[in-house]
Amino acid sequence: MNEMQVTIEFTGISRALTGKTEIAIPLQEGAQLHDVVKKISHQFPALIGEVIEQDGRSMIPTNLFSINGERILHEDQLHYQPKDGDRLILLSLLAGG
Amino acid sequence: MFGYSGKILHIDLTERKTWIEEKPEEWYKMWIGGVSMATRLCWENITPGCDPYSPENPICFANGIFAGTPVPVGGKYGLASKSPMTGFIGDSLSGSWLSIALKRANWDGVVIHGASDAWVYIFIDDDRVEFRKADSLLGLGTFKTEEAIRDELADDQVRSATIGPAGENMVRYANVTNDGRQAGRTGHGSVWGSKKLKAVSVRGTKGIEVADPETLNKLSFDITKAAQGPHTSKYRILGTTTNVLNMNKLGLLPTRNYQEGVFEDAEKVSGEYLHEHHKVKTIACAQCPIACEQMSTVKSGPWAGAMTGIEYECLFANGPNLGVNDMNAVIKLIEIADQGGMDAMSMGISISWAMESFEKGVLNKEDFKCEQYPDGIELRFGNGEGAVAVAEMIRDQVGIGKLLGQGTKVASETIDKERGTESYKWAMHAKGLEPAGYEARGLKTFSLGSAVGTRGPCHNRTAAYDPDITGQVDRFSVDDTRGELAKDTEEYAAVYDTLPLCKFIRRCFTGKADRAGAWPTIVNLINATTGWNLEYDDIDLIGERAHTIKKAFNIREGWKREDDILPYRWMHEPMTKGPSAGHFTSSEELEYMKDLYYKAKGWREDGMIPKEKLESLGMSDVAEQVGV
Repeated sequence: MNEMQVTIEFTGISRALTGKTEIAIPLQEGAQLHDVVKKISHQFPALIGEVIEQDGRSMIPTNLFSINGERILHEDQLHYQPKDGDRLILLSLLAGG
Repeated sequence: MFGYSGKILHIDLTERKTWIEEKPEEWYKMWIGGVSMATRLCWENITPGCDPYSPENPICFANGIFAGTPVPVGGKYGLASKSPMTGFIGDSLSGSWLSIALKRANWDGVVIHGASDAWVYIFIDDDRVEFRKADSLLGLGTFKTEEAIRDELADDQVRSATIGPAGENMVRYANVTNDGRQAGRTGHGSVWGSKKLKAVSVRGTKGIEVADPETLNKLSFDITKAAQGPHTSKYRILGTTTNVLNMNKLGLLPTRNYQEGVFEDAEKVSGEYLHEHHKVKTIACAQCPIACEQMSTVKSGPWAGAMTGIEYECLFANGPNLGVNDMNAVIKLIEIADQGGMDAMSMGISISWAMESFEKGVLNKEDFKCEQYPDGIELRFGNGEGAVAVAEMIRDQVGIGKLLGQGTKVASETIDKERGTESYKWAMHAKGLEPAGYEARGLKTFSLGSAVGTRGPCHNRTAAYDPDITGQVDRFSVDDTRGELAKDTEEYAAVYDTLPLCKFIRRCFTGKADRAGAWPTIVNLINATTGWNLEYDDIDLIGERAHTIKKAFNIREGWKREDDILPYRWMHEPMTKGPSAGHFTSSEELEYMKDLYYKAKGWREDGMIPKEKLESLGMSDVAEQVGV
């Protein structure tokens, strides 16, 4: 199976917890966002319990991925298969008050 | 009655007299508190059709049902008058100690009538009301006014809602401040200024009785614990300022007077940058375990020492929206707004209208001349120093500040009439109120929610951005679900604004913020406080009634379907950069969505409310006046 690369951009709390603005990660073609979440939770365990659920593969609600700033995927859409070169922006959205 | 005193305090500034109105328990079950009760008090006490600056426009406070109890984030009150910005209902919320003091003075609401012939402040000392001279307070900023009143009354437990110089000078979007928080939008401060009312101060020393203290304590403890977990980390660490980068990544960050949704220097004015370089501490409202406000300061340069709390909405309006990439200037601008007592959103957007007008040749350097700036100002986008100078001119009502202090609607109409120009095309307002910091051209459901907003386009009165931003719907297109979504999200928000509870708590009940996740706990909190037996569906009714009384108020003030509109730019100019490029909301799309929305609300096609609909909500007296 072919290997591809995606970029994860961190903002807000995920940037504060990882200390990174972005990282590149390799993925097997056909991998899902679940696999992305699993990889970053291994690399940055501080995200678990704050951004990523304790299972290490799903997201705590309101922490969402945007694909290249266009499509936004909610927590039930982590079966999405990223494409080579995608920029996956990890957003922690806030509103109200 | 538990949770309430059953009493509304009426104060007449003209006659300098007071009286007490007792309300039956059924009235409280209908209107609860916050914006709903404040609007209802306004409905009952205003002279319909009056000038917002006339003595016939009352100032209506309505406390929260949970103020002064252990319920976290329940220390909030509602404030309503007819808005001088929109001519419709002006309803705002503010948090913290004032609501607790009012509760402990045992007043569920306060209605201030008339107008004073000399500057005064009102001191509510439990049951006693005093009209006190305010001459020595004139010219003081909002925070200093609170301090001066505490000094004068020699009691550091007195809590005050105040106006600053902007309210005294009748800046149309002046606001009301208490404990560092603001009833920020729709121009309450100028209504107070029109009545020569500098402040309302409260000392409350009584107890608050609830029906079931044991249950209320247990529920409150569980919510408080959850409120210190992952559902609120992002609020605690960076606060709402984190949205600068979020919105920028999605192409939704209003930039240079909403010309675009992407700001090339967003990192320099981001919450992340603020946190690293300017944050002093995080502060909380009274009764709040979250603490989201990022108190920030300028450390060097001409504005060194400037310090205030920074939220996303004031940050976008005075940073990217002005093309300003210098956080020092942004903090200074927000400090001028907060201490001067102005809505930082409307101020920033009024300045951005002036910047675009300057760049398009509608305004020129001469227009910015005043005693302090005899050569005028080159007010181009990115000129932070110029923006600070203009903000001070607005606060002090000097030079062009007199025009810009009227807001973008009046400013653009005045200039266009005088010069034959078309600056209305970049005047960012709807119904007269400047919009929130979400580029609605890339959020179609939110564009509907903004157009139909009863107080104008507002992110706090509709949560219609939620289905767009969370991927529940395609944010770039329109379909037949949007009417229901706009209805559901505005009534959902109305529940929180009526109790009121800060919406940041919404995931701390069960982890899910939807109705099924939140309503069961909210029912239990209300019942434990009051001894009532409300059920799940009653919570939906609270939201629907709250929204309906605001709409009914607007109809009585002359609202028509064509008033539900968006700023010209959002309906005519597609964005050209970033992920939202190419998108705008056409007139056809908006009218289609409005049809869907009115239908979902059970209203007529022209947006009027059928009598039967109002009667089904228990609002027969309202039906008699505005039902069709």
